[in-house]
Amino acid sequence: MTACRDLVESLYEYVANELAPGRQDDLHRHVEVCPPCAALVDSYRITIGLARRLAPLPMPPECLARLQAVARASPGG
Amino acid sequence: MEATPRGLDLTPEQVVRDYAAQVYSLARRMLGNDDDAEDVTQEVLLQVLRKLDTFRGEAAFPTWLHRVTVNAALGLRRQRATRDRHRAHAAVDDLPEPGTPGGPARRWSAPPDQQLLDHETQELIEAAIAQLDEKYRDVYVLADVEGLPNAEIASLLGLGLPAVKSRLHRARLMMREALAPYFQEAVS
Repeated sequence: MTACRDLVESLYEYVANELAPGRQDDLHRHVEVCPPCAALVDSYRITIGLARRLAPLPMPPECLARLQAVARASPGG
Repeated sequence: MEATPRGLDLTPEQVVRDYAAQVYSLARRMLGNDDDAEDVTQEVLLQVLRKLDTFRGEAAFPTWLHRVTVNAALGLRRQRATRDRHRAHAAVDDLPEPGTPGGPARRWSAPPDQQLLDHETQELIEAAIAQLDEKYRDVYVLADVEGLPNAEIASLLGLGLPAVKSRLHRARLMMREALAPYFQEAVS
């Protein structure tokens, strides 16, 4: 359980691969044999991955139309 | 925000066409409503038009555009906070660190990396982001959605690097908590 606690405390750095190599390797070996810790790491990584796959939020058409009107009214428009 | 202004002949209409959507999307996620996002987008685009000469062809443009957008969003939020101090919802600030993992492993299933997120999944994630308290949402959106490096986020938000990392970690944990019911596989 100490290794599990270590993983929780260093989760950010572990996933970002920012730990000292020896410590990173120790935790990696633990994750490989501890299903709950593997599930935690996996879900944390999926959470990050999902955010990176979000499409831009669509702009309401009337908003775009107003911005285009502003652009046309500005110098050079 | 990866594009850089090209050529010497960008008209104001082209600036709107090329940059309005990305500015709007970032502002919308930070501020949580359409009207404020539109105000910020307009303010930012006017600044772009005024300063376009300075940035033509320069790789610094995306960084500058992020900075101007974030500053405009934070400025508007400050105005709103002054006017409407009591509306801020309670901070979801007290999420504990995840307990020591134990019990049955609850693995997640998520769409394969190559697939686009479907509309329902997209909305689910956007709703979870909107529920984050502002101080976590800002860092989360800039880091995990926009993909900015932590050092740049620290500079944009006036935070130290440890604060960025700490907020980002907690935001991820809150997002994980919010999304778990939808992505966790049933215990077998």
